[in-house]
Formats: sequence, structure tokens, C-alpha cells
Amino acid sequence: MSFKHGMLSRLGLMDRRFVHFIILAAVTVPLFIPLGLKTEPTEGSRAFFDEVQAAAVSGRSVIISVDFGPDTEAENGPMLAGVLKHVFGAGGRAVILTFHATGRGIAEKYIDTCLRDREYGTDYVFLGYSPSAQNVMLNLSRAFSLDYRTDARGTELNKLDLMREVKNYDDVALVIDIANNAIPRFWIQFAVEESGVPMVAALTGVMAPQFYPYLQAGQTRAILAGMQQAAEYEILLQESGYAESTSTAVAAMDSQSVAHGAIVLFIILGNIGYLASRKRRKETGEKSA
Amino acid sequence: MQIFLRVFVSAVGIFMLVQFFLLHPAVRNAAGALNQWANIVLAASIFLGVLNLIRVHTSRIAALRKGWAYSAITVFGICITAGAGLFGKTGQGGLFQHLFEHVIFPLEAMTFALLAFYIASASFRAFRVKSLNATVMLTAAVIVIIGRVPLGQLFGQWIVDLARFLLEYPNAGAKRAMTIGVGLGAAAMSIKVILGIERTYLTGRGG
Repeated sequence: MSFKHGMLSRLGLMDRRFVHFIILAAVTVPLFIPLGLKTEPTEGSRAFFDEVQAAAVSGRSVIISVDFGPDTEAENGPMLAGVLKHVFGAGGRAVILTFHATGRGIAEKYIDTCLRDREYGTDYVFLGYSPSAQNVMLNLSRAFSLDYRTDARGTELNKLDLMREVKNYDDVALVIDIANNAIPRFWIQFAVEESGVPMVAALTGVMAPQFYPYLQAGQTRAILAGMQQAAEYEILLQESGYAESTSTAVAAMDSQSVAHGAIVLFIILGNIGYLASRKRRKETGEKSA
Repeated sequence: MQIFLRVFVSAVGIFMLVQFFLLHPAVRNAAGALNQWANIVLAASIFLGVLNLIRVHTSRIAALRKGWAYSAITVFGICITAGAGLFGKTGQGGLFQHLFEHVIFPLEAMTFALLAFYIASASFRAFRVKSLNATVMLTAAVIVIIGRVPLGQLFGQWIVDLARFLLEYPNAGAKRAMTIGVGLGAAAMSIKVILGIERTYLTGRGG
């Protein structure tokens, strides 16, 4: 009996390099050999899709706030690409800005990739990075020109067709915040509550649980939570004809599923080892006593 | 002079608090102007931060203290990136964007990707059924980990629904309680600062 417990208790002492190797395999192998696990759009991703759709066809512009950096690009990137395809595919226009220090580079990258066939200044404008999110959000209720004299390219706002129409939140149909941090909370506090502009958020899986109270209170209209719902959003875009095919989020779901499965397996193995070693210690203690 | 500063800071603080409830254009314009000043001060503080970073690292290089080579790389990185941003093109095709996409991007992404390995290793070592509380937390974590990916569908819709329930009710309730607590604490602290009871910004010490 104690031999069996001895063997099992070793599970709890597994070399961390073995754990790392299994995780590496769990993440990479499904990228080359897809398992074809099915992803179905849920209520949350459908609500996000419907809000963006309604805003894009409303005739008014949307604000797209790119508040993430390269660290979570794997998770937030497909969300941003999806939102750009959706808004511009539905004939919408957008003012793009960022309150994240490295968000500017991310925004430039996606603008270059997704908006090549759109006209700058008419279809969209990029205002660049601003360090003071709260103050800017408050001032946008009065005028964009209070904090942004020029766009990110140095052009004066009054020389851009879109910015002659979009003066403040009254001309904005929806704020879409794609974030890995607390910036969506500032949008809620200083834009939604102050000016009544509606907002939706696309968040990393880690951040999303913090925003459910705001969703239930109606302060944010919808939340796209993590890679799973990013994949669901890609499926909705494909079904609606805004994208020819699904993209990186759907492709990554097999990887994420297997990695999650591996982590759960390690938790179970670790606990079997822990319980066996506890029982063994008890037995040894009883014998010595 | 110090009394004048205290009164001035208190007056500005009270004004910014009260302006949320006043819709008169004159009040809104004054608050807007103060917000713009805050932006300018914040931008200047970023510049001071960069200067301080350079000062710290150049002194380490000059003294050849342990790790001076890392400091040299930091200062080199700051100079190149700042130079590319100040004197070069910042959009697509410019050196600044090249540095971002080919240096900063892979470095940050790689650092964050390492988290997957550490999380797996940490969950293997830390999630233990040591007590009832730990067991409840572990069970909830396993349900959410499985229920939030397509893998959960293989176990049945119940695990997906249970994961959603955990996030939308127990999680949201706990989060709401914490948010209200933090909000009340922040409001109390703000009132102390506005009224000059907590004035570390003037004296260099509390009280």
C-alpha cells in the first residue's frame, strides 16, 4: 500500500521542465494538426455583433479605442481585425485612438493591414496616443479639438472631412474599446456616465470577469470576452458576409482547448500526488508512533 | 505660501468635484480648461520620467556598476527610439514603426507568452485540496478553465452553463462588492486630500 502511495506521491514532484514541454506541445501541435473542435456563437458575442452592426449602419461614426499592446496581441488582435472588418464592411466610419503607450504601433499595424482600401480622412481618422485617458474622455463630450489639435499624422482636425462632422460624443454612435487593462472602466466613468454615449468592450479573458457588473448594470452594452468569444465573433462575421473566412481566433481555439485540458490534467495529477503523500506521511507517522 | 498653496489645491479640488453636478457653460468651460492643463502636466511628467531613467542608467554606466551593460542597452534603446520618433516618419514605413514591429513587438509578445508555462507550472504546484475553501476555489477554477473553451462541449452543455453562471453571478457579485468598497475608500481618501488633511504633496510626509 505504501509503495503505491510512494509512487503516486511522486506525481506531485514532477519536474517543471516536463510540465513546460507538455504545454509547449499542447499549444503548438493543434496549430499544425487541427482537431476541429466546434465553436458556436453565444449570447454574449451575438450581443456584441448586434451593437456594432447597429452603430455601423446608423450613419454616425464610431470611436475605436485600441488599448492594448503586443503582449496581448494574440488575443486582442483578432478582435480589432474583426471590428475593423465589421464597421467598414457595414459602411460605417470610425475615429481611431489609443490610451495605451504601445497601442499606437498596434493601431498603425492594423490600419495598414485592414484599411488599405478605405480613404483616410473620409472613412476613418487616427488620432494617435494620449497619456491622460480620463481628462481626454471628459473633454470629448465638448469637442475633439480640445485635446487633439492634429491627428497622428500632423494634419489639423478641421482639414479632415470626417472630423468636420464628428465634433463630440453627440456625433458618435458607439465607443468600441478593445483592451487588456482598466481603460474600459474609464470610458464607463467619464464617457458613458457623463455623456450617455453607448459603449461595448472587447477584453482579454483575464480582464473580462471584472467587467460583468458593468454589463449587468447596462453601463457597457456588450462584452467580447477572450479568445473564445473572439472566435465566435469571427464566425458571426463570416456568416454575415463581412469576412470571407474565419481567422486566427478560430484557428487558435484548438490550441487553447488542448492547453486548458493539459493544465486541468496537471492540477488533477498534482492533487493525486499531494493526497498520496499526505496519506503516506500519516501512515509513516502512525507506524513511528 | 504653504497655506496659500493648501487653500488653492483645496479650492481646485472642490471645484472639480462640484462641476460634475453643474451644467452651466462657464463652469464646464473652466473644468475643460483645467483638464487640458492636467494633460499638459501629465505629458511633462512623462518627459521627466524619461530624463530620470537616462540619469539613473548613465550614472550606472559611468561607475561601471554591476549590470552596466544592460543600462547601456537601455540608454541606446531610448536614444534610437526617441530619435526615430522625433526626427523620422512615425507611420507605416518609418523607422519608428519598424522598431515597434520588429523589436518591441516580438520582445513583449515573447515575455507574455512565457506566462503560459508559468501558469501551468504554478497551477500544478499551487492548486491543492488543502482545505474546504481551497477545494471550492479549485473546483470553480477547473469548471471555468474547461467551460470557457470548445473542449467543454465534449463534457456536455452543463459545464458551459455552469462556467457562465460562476462568472456572471458569484464572480460578478464579489467583484461588485470589492468595487463598491474600493470606491468608498477612494472617495474618503480624495476628500482627505482635497481638504488638506492628507497633504504629502506639500510637506513630503503624511498628516
